[in-house]
Amino acid sequence: MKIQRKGQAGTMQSSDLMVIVEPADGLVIEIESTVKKQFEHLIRAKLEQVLAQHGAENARVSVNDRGALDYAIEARLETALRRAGGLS
Amino acid sequence: MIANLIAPADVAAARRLIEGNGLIFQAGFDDLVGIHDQGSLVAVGARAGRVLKMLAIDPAHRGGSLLGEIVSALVARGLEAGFDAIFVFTKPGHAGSFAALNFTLLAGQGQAVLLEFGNGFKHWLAANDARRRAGVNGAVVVPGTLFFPGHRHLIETAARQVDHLYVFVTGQDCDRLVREGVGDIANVVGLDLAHYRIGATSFPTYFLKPDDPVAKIRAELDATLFATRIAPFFGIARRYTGAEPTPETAADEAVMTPILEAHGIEVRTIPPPGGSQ
Repeated sequence: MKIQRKGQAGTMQSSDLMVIVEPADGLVIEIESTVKKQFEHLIRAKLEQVLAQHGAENARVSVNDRGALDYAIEARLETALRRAGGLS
Repeated sequence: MIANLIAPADVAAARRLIEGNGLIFQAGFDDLVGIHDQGSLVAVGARAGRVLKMLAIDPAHRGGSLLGEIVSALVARGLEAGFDAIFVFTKPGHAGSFAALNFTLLAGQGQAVLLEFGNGFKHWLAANDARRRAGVNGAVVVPGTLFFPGHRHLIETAARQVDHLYVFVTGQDCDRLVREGVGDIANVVGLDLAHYRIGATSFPTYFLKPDDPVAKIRAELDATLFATRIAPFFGIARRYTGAEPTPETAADEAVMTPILEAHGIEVRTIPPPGGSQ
């Protein structure tokens, strides 16, 4: 699937995250989080799983997380991908 | 629930809330949004280009999620409008509230801090990584978007004293400007400072008092950003200044010099050609 434009989803409320997906060469994931020290690897693993599920390979994914749970990460990323034209 | 504040009565309520928080209401924004509770406005914030300003929360409603809601809405609109990095200038005491929203502190001085949302600064450094040079390097910041004859002399003279001279320009046409202006000088490297120069037009003053030395605060913040974030990355040991055409830039330099020197950057002034200074 191809990222065609910038797509964003989510908020920076507590327990939520804001995801921005943009076209890029290759896959770049950038994570800012209030719980980065403890959970960055888990957030990254979740993002990679969802991206792989949708075959997203050329995207810059910027995440600003405030302690969101797995299902929120999945839902926000999927919405951002959809808005970026990557999902139909 | 975020509401756009457009009607005169809404804008007047926003002004009351902003002024009640000890801030100054300043017209000139792209978005003004607020949140109501039982019919009265309890939170407000504005965006002008990439800069958020006039963020105010009613004292009885603090400590909750309102700031996050306002900032989320404004950041989302800023990103939609095509800005890759969103700035907030505020009092140092409020830096923590924005850091909790994943803003990054870029620079601070006694009365003002600059924080950024997104990785704009990191991306800017990465985009200019190929222009980094080793050795003893100097820097010239050309204000505005064209070279005066004095700049040519300044750059020529400075370039002879260093291994590489970075010429910082602000504006889209950086490369063309540097090529046409001083492209014949081999060790000159042009760099577009983009929005990482805090100029008078981009610095909001809503959080300062009318009698605060606004120009000095802005110049200190700009010098701190340069000295602590930009100069170390590019290996800048000296900053060159020349014959300054206006009193404002001369005042800026007087403020800038001690800050740069405190961070180990030498400031050298190149006298104008034929001058006897």
